[in-house]
Amino acid sequence: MNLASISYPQTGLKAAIAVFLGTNCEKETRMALEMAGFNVEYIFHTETNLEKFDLVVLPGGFSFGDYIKAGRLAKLSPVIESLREYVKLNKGFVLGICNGFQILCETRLLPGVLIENTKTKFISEDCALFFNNKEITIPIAHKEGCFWADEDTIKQIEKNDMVILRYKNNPNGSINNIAGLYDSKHHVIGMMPHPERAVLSQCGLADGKKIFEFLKTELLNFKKSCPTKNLSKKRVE
Amino acid sequence: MIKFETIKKLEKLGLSQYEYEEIVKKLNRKPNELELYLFSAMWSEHCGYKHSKKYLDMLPRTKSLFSSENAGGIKIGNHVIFFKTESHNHPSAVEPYQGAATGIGGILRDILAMNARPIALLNSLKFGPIERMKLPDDINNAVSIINNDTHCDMESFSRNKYLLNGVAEGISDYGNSTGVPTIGGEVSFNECYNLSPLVNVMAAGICHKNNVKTAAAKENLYVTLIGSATGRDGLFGAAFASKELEGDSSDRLSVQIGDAYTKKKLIEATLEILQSKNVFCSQDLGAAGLLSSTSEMAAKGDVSMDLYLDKVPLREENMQPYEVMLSESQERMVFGANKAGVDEIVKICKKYELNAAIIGKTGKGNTYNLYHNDILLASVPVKALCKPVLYDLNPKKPEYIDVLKKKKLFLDTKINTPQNIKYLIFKITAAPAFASKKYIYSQYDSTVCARTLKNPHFIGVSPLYIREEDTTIGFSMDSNEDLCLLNPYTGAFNIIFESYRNAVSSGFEPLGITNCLNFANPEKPDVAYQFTETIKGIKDALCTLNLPVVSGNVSFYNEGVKKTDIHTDDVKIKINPTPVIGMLSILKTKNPIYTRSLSDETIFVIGKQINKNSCTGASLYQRLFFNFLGGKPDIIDFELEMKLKSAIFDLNIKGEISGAIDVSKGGIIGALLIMLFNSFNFNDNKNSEQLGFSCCLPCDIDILFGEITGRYLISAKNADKVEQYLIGSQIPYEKLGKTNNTGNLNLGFVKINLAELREIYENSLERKA
Repeated sequence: MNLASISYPQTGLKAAIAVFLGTNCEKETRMALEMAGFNVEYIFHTETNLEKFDLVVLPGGFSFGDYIKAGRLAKLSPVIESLREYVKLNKGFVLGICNGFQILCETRLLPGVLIENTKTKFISEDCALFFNNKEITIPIAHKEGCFWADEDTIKQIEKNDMVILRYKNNPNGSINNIAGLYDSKHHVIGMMPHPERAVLSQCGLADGKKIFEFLKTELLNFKKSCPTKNLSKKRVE
Repeated sequence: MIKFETIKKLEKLGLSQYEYEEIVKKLNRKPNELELYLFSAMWSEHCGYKHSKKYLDMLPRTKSLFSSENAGGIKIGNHVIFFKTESHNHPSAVEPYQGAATGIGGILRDILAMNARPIALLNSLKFGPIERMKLPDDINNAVSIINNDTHCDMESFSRNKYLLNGVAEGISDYGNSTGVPTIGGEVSFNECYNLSPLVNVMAAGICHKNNVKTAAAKENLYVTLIGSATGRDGLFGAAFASKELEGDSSDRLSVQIGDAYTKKKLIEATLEILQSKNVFCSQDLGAAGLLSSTSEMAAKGDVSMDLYLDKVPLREENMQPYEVMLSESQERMVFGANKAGVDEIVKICKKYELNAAIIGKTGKGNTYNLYHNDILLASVPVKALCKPVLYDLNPKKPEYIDVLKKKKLFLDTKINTPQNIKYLIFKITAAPAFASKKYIYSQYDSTVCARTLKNPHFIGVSPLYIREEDTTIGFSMDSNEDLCLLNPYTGAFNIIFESYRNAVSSGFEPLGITNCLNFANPEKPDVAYQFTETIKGIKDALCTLNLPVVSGNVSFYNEGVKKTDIHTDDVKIKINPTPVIGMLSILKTKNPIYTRSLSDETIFVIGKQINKNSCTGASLYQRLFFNFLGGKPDIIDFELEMKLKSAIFDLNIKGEISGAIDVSKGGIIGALLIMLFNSFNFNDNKNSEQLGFSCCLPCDIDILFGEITGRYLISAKNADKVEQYLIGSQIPYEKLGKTNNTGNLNLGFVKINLAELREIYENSLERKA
């Protein structure tokens, strides 16, 4: 059996995975999205047309070698310029995983910054998290994953219910155990943990599916409520 | 008669006078200076395997594919899994961060050259000790023979810590950026590595069986070089790895510098390029850079090659032709393609922002010509270049072998008090050689690619899910330098079986191995003996198990000079013979055997039962506690090993066992502790803090910590069924005891809080490093 030959339930949702030079999680991210029913396309960092996508994913990796600071160079690429417009015009959702989260913070699409872990070393482990009040376990793998923001910003984040994921045993020193964030509209999502690495039951952990399923549901709801994106035309029955 | 200046030059280049005469014979004339450099590099041990080739050819290769290429592989379904190990010992000794990083870079390129996507990295790291084991007097006095010949001092401890942290960081920064998971390996500490640490890296890749590319060129291809520009870094790296280190800071100039970002781009570009039907062959640029990659391409394809050195993109000015040819600048690949292929290569490289340059052409014939601005600089028969003079070694059994064999560890019986045993259990748990390597492994990205089944520091093989075939494969790396010093033949033989048991304990069937053979100077008869015996040991074990070697690497000259005061001669410190075995295995039962929650289970020791007369030579506890190495190593009982394997597979298929571990380092106590600690890691075991174990073991150090072959611990809920099975299969076993929720390890004569012990096991290395 080849997993590529399995067909997954189709939702008609279109996702783009932005590939930067140095990105390294695009394949498993594609697999996870396809399993959740998305139609997935890779787009290169030079792409500027995001019109047709319901979701743009910035996957993990080391975009442009993470030189200077993680995500600092990627924010200057053409695809990110278009992404700002995409978000501003409510075209769809954005998901940044690990390096993607770092890029979203660098571009100010999400508040705060991600600085070096308090232990100053790379941390790779299966990590217990709280997601929608339930405990899940998903791998983390990063060196600059400690979330930091000033007091006022943290207050805003908590007040507007912008935390999507929290660490159970804070491995990297993040303020308020923050592992993942929404923007104020809940359309832009960033997270340090890698849900795409936990979708195959053959590999043991499959909690990552819950995040992609959640994303799918939210996105379908968003499209129902959004007249410019009429889902019924696209839905594959 | 060879001129004096020539002799001086030859010495500098590491060529013997005999080799020089052979070169003259093959060329039918004296080589010019550049040609001499070419031969010196290609005939070095690092490229030419001149001292080892004859012996390596003795190893069995049936069922392996492409074993004479950059990396060999084994077929699984429609895919080939390529795997290979490589050492980067010499560079890591002088510059641990870059040394380890480029070691990964080099082995990844070997896999890549086959058109295989890298899917896993493992490493075997060996350093000198980072602490001195201190025992109370009453334990020390109980030992009648103590070998006090130690070379350790505070200075070497801090140097070893620097090396350990540097290597780990190098692997972390470089390996993680390439997007290939580091899924396992081993780390150990031994005095013999004080001056020569070992960094062995294993990489694995996957390729559809129809898409494999090899190195052999054909006629009328354009030789196209892609990747980083060529500089002076790593110049003479091959020659550097073929000598003993002088501890001179000038050695640092021979270390290559890696660039993980460029490597990641090179990986993607190469895999895209090799999809083209217009690209016929590929080679990575490793040892002896452009020279070895291109000459081997021509030699394997039986064609001639013209190279234009002025076309090579350079990053430094005024580089001499020999520098361009021998530079070991990282992140470069070379391809042979037709005109359309070259266009594709250029296009792909533009996308990935990499250099691409046509630097030569292949044609009919067998000469290897180097031009610079149309001036012919060197012209040599390519086969002569790639076929170095091969040597027979002059092995002579060193005297120490019989001396060590007769040595015995006499322990005063007074030592076997409950209090002492408890003390030693704490000591071994905290020892870097035994304690959890989580501190190191958590710095490696082990989950990228979404194929990984478990954390690298958990027990058993490192499994990977192969979605292309819907199957699970496993990798492991094993070695035992003490055993191999004691008896190189038995040592090597036993390591293969140790790897074997490791795979079996997780429910995996071994398929083949790769090896990395680390030795001192093979031109010395004692080292030659260690090497030839090791080869025999590996060969015999593999033939017994019907397993092939698919690839390998040899690292000689691992010895360092210990500077003493000016009145005495410098002492050369050799490493113990260290064959490192990397094994590929495949899941044979439906599910791998995880040792997860162990509540209310019975643990059995199955296989050989240890007693007073067992051969426990080279057990870890003997070196660790008593600084003793001697006695006989245990001999493998092949039939028993096979029976144990089928028992474990059967019981796993029936769902009767919930955990298994092979008994190795630290004997029964070691295996038991690791098994219990491992179950703490799973949060489906909510009451793990209360996990306890109760058994009745004799209060005897050798029985508790002694290491013999052919043993596993298995745990089961339904003890009666397992017992019936074991009796029916005539497998020797002993019911060790039962887990409970007392939170204590109760050995009958002593009680220890398990959570406290586990805290030491998990964090000891971090505290000490």
